[in-house]
Parts: sequence; C-alpha cells; structure tokens
Amino acid sequence: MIEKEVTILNRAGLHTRPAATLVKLASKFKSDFYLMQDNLVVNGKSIIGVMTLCAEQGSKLKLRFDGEDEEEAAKEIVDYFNRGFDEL
Amino acid sequence: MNFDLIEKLKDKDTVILTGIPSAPGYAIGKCLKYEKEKFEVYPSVVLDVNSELEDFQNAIEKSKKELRKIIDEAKKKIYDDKMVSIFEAQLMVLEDPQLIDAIKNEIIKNKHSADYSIHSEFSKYIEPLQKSNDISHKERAKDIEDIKLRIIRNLRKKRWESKLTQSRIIFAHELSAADALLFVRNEVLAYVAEGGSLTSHAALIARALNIPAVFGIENVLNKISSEDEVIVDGFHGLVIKNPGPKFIEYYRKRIIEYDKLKKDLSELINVESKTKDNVRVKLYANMDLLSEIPSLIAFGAEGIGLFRTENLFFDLGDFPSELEQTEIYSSLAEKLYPKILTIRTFDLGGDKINLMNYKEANPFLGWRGIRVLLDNKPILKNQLRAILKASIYKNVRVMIPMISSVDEIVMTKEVLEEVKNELSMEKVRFDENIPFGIMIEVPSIVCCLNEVAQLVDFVSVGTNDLTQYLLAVDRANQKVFKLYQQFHPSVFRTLKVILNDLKETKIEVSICGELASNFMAIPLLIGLGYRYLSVNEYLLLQIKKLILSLDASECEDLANKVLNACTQDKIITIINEFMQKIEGIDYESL
Repeated sequence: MIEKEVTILNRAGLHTRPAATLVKLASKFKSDFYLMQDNLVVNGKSIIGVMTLCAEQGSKLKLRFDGEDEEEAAKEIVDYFNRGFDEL
Repeated sequence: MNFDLIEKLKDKDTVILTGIPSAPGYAIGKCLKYEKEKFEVYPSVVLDVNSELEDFQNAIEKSKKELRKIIDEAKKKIYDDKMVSIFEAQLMVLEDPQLIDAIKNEIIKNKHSADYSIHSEFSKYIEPLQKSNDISHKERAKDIEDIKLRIIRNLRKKRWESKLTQSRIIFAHELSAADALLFVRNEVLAYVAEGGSLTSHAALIARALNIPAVFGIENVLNKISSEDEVIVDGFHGLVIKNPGPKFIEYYRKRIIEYDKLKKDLSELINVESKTKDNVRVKLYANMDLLSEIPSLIAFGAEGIGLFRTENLFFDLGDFPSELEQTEIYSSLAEKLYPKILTIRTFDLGGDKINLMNYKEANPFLGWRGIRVLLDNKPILKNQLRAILKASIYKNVRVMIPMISSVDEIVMTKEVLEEVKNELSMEKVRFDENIPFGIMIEVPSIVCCLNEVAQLVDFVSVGTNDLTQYLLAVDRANQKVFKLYQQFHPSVFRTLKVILNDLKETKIEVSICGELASNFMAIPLLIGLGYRYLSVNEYLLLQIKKLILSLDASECEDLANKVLNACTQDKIITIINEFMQKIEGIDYESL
C-alpha cells in the first residue's frame, strides 16, 4: 500500500473535468485507489464519488493506492495532481 | 413595445407576462405545459429480488441509450463539441461501478425496491452538494439529480413526452438543455420557462436552432393552461395570454414583416455598410456563444468585435484549460479568417461568474475584470498563451476588460511579453505583433487617453459599465434602476471626449456596449464620429439597413444638438424627431 499527500494546485480545484480524467486514469490500473479529505474517503474509480469532493485550490488530499500495480498508479496519478490537472 | 400600444391592442381578458428575452423571434399558437412527473419514492420491500435487479439493469441500459441519443442529436444540431461534454459526464455516472454496485447491494441485501435503492444511494451524493455554497456544486447536484430521475422514470417505463403531434408553444418550469434539443425534432413554436436566463443552456440551444424563447417568468405554469392561445415575443420578452383579435392581427403583421425583413436583409449581407453620403461604418458582431459562428458569418459581420470568454465557463460548465481555450480560439480564428477576432480576457467578478466563491459588499467596485486576472497570473498567462497560439493567422486581437489606470495596462503588457518570450523559447508560432486593446468602461481611464494611446492598438467602449460608473447606478438594483439612463447627457459627452482625445492617433475606437445595438442611438453615434460598431449579431442586418438610409452630415447635426441638451428626456425628444424623418425605415417596428 502506498499513501501520498497532494495539494490541489489549479485555481478551479478538482472540478468535473479533472474528476472525470482522474477516474479514467485510475480505471486503467488494477490497484484500488482512494482519495481522502478530512474524514471523507471516496473511491477514486467512482465518478460520482469524486464529484462530491469539494477540493478547492490549496486544499490537501491524501491518496491511497493498494494492489499489484500500485507504484505505477501512484506515479501517474500523483503526477497528474502535480501538473495542476494540466491547468497551470 | 410601448405601453400605449399594449393598451390599444389588448382585449379585456388579455394577460401580459414579461420575462427575459432569451431567443429572438415571434410565435402565435397554443400552449403545451411540459411538466416532468415528480416520482414519489417510498421505502418498500420486494419479494422477487432477481426480477427487481433485472428491471434496474434494463432501466440503466435504457437511460444510457437515451443519453447517447441526446449526445448524437447535440453533435448534429449544435456545432460545438464542448457542450456535448455536459451529457457525456452524465453518461459516465451511469457506468460508475461503485454507484451501480451499491444500488444492487441495497436491492439484494435489504430487499429494497429498485427505485428506493436508487433514490437513497444517489441522495448520499446529491445532498452534500446541494448544501454547498458553491454555485458549481449546486449545478453538479442538478446534473446528478437529472440522471437519477432519468433512471427512475425508465424503471417505471414512463417517458418524458417530448414528441409533439401538433405545433405547440412549450411551457415548462425549467427546461434542461436536453429538453430544448429534443422538442426541436418536432414542431415546437417557442419556449417559455420559469427558470433560466439568457445564458442558460436551454437558451443557447434555442438561439442556435432559431426557436423564440422567453425565460424567467415567475410562476408561469400557474398562469397558463394547456391549449391557451398565446403570443410569444422573443424580442421583447413578452408572453401574451388571451391576446384577442387586435393583438393577433398586430403580431401576424409583425411575423410577415419579420420574415420579409429576414429575406430583404439577406440581400444586404454582401452590401458594404456605409451612409448615403459614403461614410463607411464597419460592423462587427459581439459573440458570447460558441455555436453562433455560422450565423455570424451568414449575417455578414465584418469580424468579431467582442468575444466574451467568461461565457466559456457557462458553456463548458467548468474552468477551461489552456488546451481547451487554444482549441476554441484557434478554431474560431480559422473559421473567421480573414475577418478579425477580438478576444476579451475573462471578465470575472461583478455580476458575472464568481469562481472563487468570494463575496464582497460592492462587487461592481470590487474584484473584477483585469483586477482578478492580475491577482491570478496563472489564469491570465494561460489565457494569453491560448490567445497567442490562436494568432498564427494574424487575425486575432486581445482586449483587456475593466482597465482603470495606465499601470494596469503596463502590468498586463508585461505579462503578455513574458508569455510571448516563453512561447518563443518553446518554439511555438504566434503573431509577434498581436494587436493589444482595452475596454473603456471605467471613467478614470477616459481622463488618461493620451497616455493610453502610447500603449494600445485599439480601444472599445463598453457603454453598459461606462454608464453605470458615470452615473453611480447599479442597474440590477430595483430602487435606483430608473436612474440608469442610457441616454444621459454624460454618456454622449464622454463618448465625444474619447474620440476627440484619440483623434490624432491611428487607434481604432469602437463601441461594443448595448448602445451600439440600439437603433435610437446609432445615428447619434455616427454623428459623434464613431465608425466601428460591434453589435448583436441578430440585429446586424437591421442596423446595416438603418445605416444605409442615414446621412452622416445630418447625424452630425443631430449629435451637436444632443451634446447641448442637458437631460435624457430632451435627448430622446431630439432623437425621436430625427428618426421620424428617416426614409425607408419603419420607425414603429424598431
């Protein structure tokens, strides 16, 4: 299991489009992927779940990857966060 | 339409409802109330779990099929792929494994009925979003709610009847984008709704498809019954119930005239816009909706004088990335070439989109336009990058809103230079000499035009905000609304100063506010010396027709009289006298 902390960098936060991209990215991997914000945990492979996160710019999320390809998954998804969802 | 005329035309039981004119055109016909069934859901236990699961799966498949059809229909009728993404996100929810599994579990483990299981699982997501203060989250809640209703309806094997057997005017509480799209397959005459505004997705679709629409009429479904005879006036935002013979007669004439006008006007498309004494007045169009490009070209606009990019937030529902912006701007520039495209950077804040969910006591005097952008350089840089990338055909101009000081121009230009350098380093092609302009809408900048002239290539006057700031009147405020005088002497005197101060320069001075699309104001603007007007696209040909029948030297006399008048009433009287003398223009119909 891998856990990473990320910060939302782009101005508009985790809105519908990055949410959809994130779910599509996560679905490529076999590993489970969860996002945690305060006490809320959502399944990163569920669009409706990710859409309920109110992650604005500057907020911090914890990501958890668990499964055979967790390293690749973590690398790719953390990278997507670090690129500010390609909106910087 | 004025009150005297309404009084003259109405019958004893005529009722006039007013709303927001959301798509132009007229319709006379019978109403059809489009009321989406409210599905009450109660907790109930089922005996046959397997058949319940099967019903649920069928409802999901049916809903997917419907959404795919909507996506297809949208792609066919609306030239804008980005709007389609709203529906595509909905489709993704129907395929969400966590959601679908949770609903199935609810059915299997608790033996709850499918509809109750759907309702309770969806609510877990919808309720927190509804409680949010953020408008975009509330919108998300609406989207998700819409999917929920779609599945439940399909579960009950019901349809939302969007097939019309006869021509009807559709009345609804709220029209979704999908509704507005689906009725068009049949003979819909017009749309009227309680909710919605000029910028709602349904309005956008109505305009793209030439269906008149009036939105924002409070409680409209209680004021109308199906089969009532009504007139919809999409130009003035009127719905006339029980119009009576005189009203119908009047509007029949209007419809014939409008059709004729459209035909006559179509002959004007390739006619150069100039006055009788050969003074050329260039007509640009204002644009805020991506889908209108084909009609812009069809209406013979000589370019886009104002592209309001903040509306991309409405169209896309979210923050547009650099890549998305680049695609949109490039495709527009390409389609318009060699006509020019003036892209105004995001004018956020004020009464417009408030992305940051930031509240202030006085938004019009607060954080808006360039002020927001200079505080959020990444957004500004992103947008400038996209604009520059679209400029390879050299027909793109960039314009900055809400400039109140020379400093802001200097700072913005520094960012522009920075972005240009970055792009050069990245070996990206762009127009090195992209024309740079500002909006003139804050009175303070009118006092600095000599310095502004050293820094910009063009300016465009936004008369709505300029008037609001000159008069210190918030026009959305009911109490002072009447003090907002479009024809206040200060407006025209300021317009005169602007031209005078820039007379010796080569700077193009245009007007892109509402005044430029106001028939009463056009002779006056020409008389003041304005030669570039950026107008509403669907009025462009009518405006051209008016210009063709004007004499610039007479307009100048008019302007001189108006500049000496000291009240709005006096100015309007002077203009009225002038207008009645113009030949070939049906003054009443303006």
